[in-house]
Amino acid sequence: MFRPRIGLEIHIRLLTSSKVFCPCPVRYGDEPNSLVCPVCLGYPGSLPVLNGEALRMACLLAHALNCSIAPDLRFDRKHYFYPDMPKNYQITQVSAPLGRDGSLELETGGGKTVSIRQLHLEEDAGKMIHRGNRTLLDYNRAGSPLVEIVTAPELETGEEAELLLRSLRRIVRYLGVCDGNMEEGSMRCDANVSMSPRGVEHSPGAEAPSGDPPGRKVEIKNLNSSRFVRLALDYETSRQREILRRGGRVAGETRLWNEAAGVTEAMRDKGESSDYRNVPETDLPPFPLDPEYLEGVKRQLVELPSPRKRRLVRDYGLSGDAADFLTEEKDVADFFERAAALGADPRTAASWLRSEVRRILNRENLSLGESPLTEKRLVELLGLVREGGIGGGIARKTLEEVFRTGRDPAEIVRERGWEPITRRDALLPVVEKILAAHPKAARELREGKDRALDFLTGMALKETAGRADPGLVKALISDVLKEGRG
Amino acid sequence: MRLIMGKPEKGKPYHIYVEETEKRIGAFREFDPARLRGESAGEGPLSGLPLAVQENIAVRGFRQGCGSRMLEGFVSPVTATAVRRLQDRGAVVAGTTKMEEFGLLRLFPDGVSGKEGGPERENPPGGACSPRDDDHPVGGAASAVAAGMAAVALASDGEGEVRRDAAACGVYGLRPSWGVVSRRGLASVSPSLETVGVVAGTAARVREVFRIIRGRDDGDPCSRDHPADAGPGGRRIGTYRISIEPSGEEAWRAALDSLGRRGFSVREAPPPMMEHWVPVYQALAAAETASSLARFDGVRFGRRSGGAEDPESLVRRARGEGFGIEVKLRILLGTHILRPPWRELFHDRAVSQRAAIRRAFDEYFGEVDMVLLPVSPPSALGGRDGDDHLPGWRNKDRFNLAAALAGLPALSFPVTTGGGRPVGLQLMGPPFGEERLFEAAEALAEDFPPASPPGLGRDWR
Repeated sequence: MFRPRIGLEIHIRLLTSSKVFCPCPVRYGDEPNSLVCPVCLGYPGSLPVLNGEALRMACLLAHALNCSIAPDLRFDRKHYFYPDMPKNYQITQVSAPLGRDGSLELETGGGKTVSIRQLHLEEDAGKMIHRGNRTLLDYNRAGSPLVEIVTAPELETGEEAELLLRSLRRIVRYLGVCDGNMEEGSMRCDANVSMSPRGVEHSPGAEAPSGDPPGRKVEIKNLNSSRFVRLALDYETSRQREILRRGGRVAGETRLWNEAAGVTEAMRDKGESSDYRNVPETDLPPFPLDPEYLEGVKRQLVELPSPRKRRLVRDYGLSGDAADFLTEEKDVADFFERAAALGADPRTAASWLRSEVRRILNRENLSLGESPLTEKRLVELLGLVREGGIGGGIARKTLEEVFRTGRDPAEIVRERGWEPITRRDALLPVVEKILAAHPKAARELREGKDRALDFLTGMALKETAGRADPGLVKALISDVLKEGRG
Repeated sequence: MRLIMGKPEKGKPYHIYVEETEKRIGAFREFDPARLRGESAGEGPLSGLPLAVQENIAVRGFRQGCGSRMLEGFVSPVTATAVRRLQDRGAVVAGTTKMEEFGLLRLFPDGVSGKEGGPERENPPGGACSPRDDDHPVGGAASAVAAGMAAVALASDGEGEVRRDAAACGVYGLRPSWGVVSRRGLASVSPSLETVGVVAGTAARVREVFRIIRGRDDGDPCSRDHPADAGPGGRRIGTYRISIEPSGEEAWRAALDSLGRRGFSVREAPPPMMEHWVPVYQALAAAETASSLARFDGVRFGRRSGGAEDPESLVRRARGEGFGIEVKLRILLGTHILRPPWRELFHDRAVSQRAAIRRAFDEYFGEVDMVLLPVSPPSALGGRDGDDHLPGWRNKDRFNLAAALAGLPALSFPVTTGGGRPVGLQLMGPPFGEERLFEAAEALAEDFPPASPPGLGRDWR
């Protein structure tokens, strides 16, 4: 009877080397208040100077989200007194956000596309740390560049919200504008939840219908992982649905996600005014974003995860899951495509990347780019398997050695003497030894129990440390038994 | 090379002269001869020239008090670009000068506002106009120049401070076109209205200094280069028939005569939209002031109040104790007109009217090249003649406001007639029209030579 309308406000911390309006470095974990200057501390007489790198990244993201871009870059001052905010106003974009009317395609979930209402550039605040009865302030973060993205309330479930965040995370990482880490606050999310009666559609951007709607907008904060976003929104939508089902009304309020209890809770009212008394930031003149500049930025766009995934399925015959895995990180997808171009069988390469390579990377806590495994080495390894006849076990050992030593697979195989044993005369003594050692299995095989053949083959492989050609071993076992020697 | 520490053969060394004079004038917030002695003047056209800097403009190592208790003891870690450019040409910062709190002229009688912040009332010896006679203080920058304690002063001009104080002290004061002089280092209260201005004893010195400090500064995104083609040009001067103080009437007529004799064509041409100047200025300045002064909260710098229980009370106390009544009134006004329902009525209308004023001035300066206006003196704002409501006082101040609203350059200059006190008049031109203002002022100086400051000042001419 009621349909949830969920909109997200997402803050993206840009990966610039310096702050958005001053040259202080953007770094985390330094000595508190060591990365500050008169500008980011709001000293009298200090003036903001826009960081071109932050602008470039924001424009890139606006392009990637299909936003229309404002003709001029304009900033406003949004006022509220809070000690972590050096000037007691935030320089942000209210009247003319950098991007409007964009869209974001959810990567799974039926290809749903969510409208982006606006995208704008702004500065972050510092951090307030409470220690007993003391309040400490660290302004290292103050003035770090943020992009805020506001979606239309077109999401209906926690799962969709989680998907949106995952999709956005991939995009910002592809573009290299943010590391996408929600736990560390590189991506922060607030959500708006309201209920509209089913069948009543609103034009995008419209508020709930006037005349005391049953569902007032509830804002939910403290959603610092995409899982919490899903859990909190599922909780909140069912809470609101339950209130409405019983004929009640949902109060418009701000609620916090309580991670421990798994519920949302009304936030203590701080009497905070939502009237920010915005004024134009006259310290920063309107900056025309000329088409040439924007075209230059657009040329830096890379193929985004969703279209790339579709292309990988189409061009390489991969499964959706495999393509999904490969496109999660741009590095991995790039690696995969380079390997395929060097002649690797796409499905085999994808499967190695998804299983063995990922396992080692996770264990060593490395990214593909940092690892000694180059696409050339992977192609060489796959070639050894396909053409050189080395077995899976040897191949896995070789991969481990590549990671350990940073040497080429063929060299490792050669030096370790791991080439496959393919000569009959070399394998025959091994087979004879195995049959002699396992008379029970040999008897069973003679009696027609095929399972015994696998067992004996396995023992032969073990005996040769994986080097024996399994096909040849099987043929030899049959031959020996037929000849009645076993 | 002129040596700042004086020429013994001519009498007292500079710092002795200043120490003695300063006891009577009280222009400086901070003047430190010991520090000066250690300064060696750099080479350049201003080598050794003592520079006074108003205390809301940053000079590294000097207190940047802005005339406010809020910033008691705050020492600036940086030097303003305009100051730096003069230092690079050899000028030496002699000290910082007193000002009204954040440069905001008190619109309420002293009984309400208290007197902290302004300099003493002694008549600067160089100026025939005596601020002591008025109930309003003159900024220390103009006093220091008039008394021969500094060759040049930098001060801010938002609502006319530079021109008003220069006029009161019988010296020259320039408010440059908005954006032409970097505001980096100026503690602006109304960024879109305020500029760094120049005070000096002659128009030539003002021009010399202006040419050094102007131009694009990477530290101020609003700063821009003065266009190369903005030389002197045009001799058509518009005026507006107004009744000014009787003492000013004679000077006004003498100035018109002089300009006519010296080849300027003067005609009656009232500047546009005068009735809007005061309300539009009042609304915009209040809104910007409320915004810009938000950063003063006692948390990171400046006055820290004791006994606060929580961050909110810390901020409340610091602002309650640190700001004077005029500042508080403007913050209240600015805060209110940025909120519904007043926002639309006052602020938003003021924004669009300001745009209309700018357009009207564009048109106006197609017909004339400059406009001659009185400088509204501080005495106009006394609230003594029955005008005991705020718009009434402000209205008398209106001639100083148009330049701020439209970003125009304006130069105030002294006119002395018959041995009386100099009267300050101002010429206002289109954006970047500074050179034509200097040209007219220099022509006028032929007829009204500016008084020589006492002390060592005449060496700096």
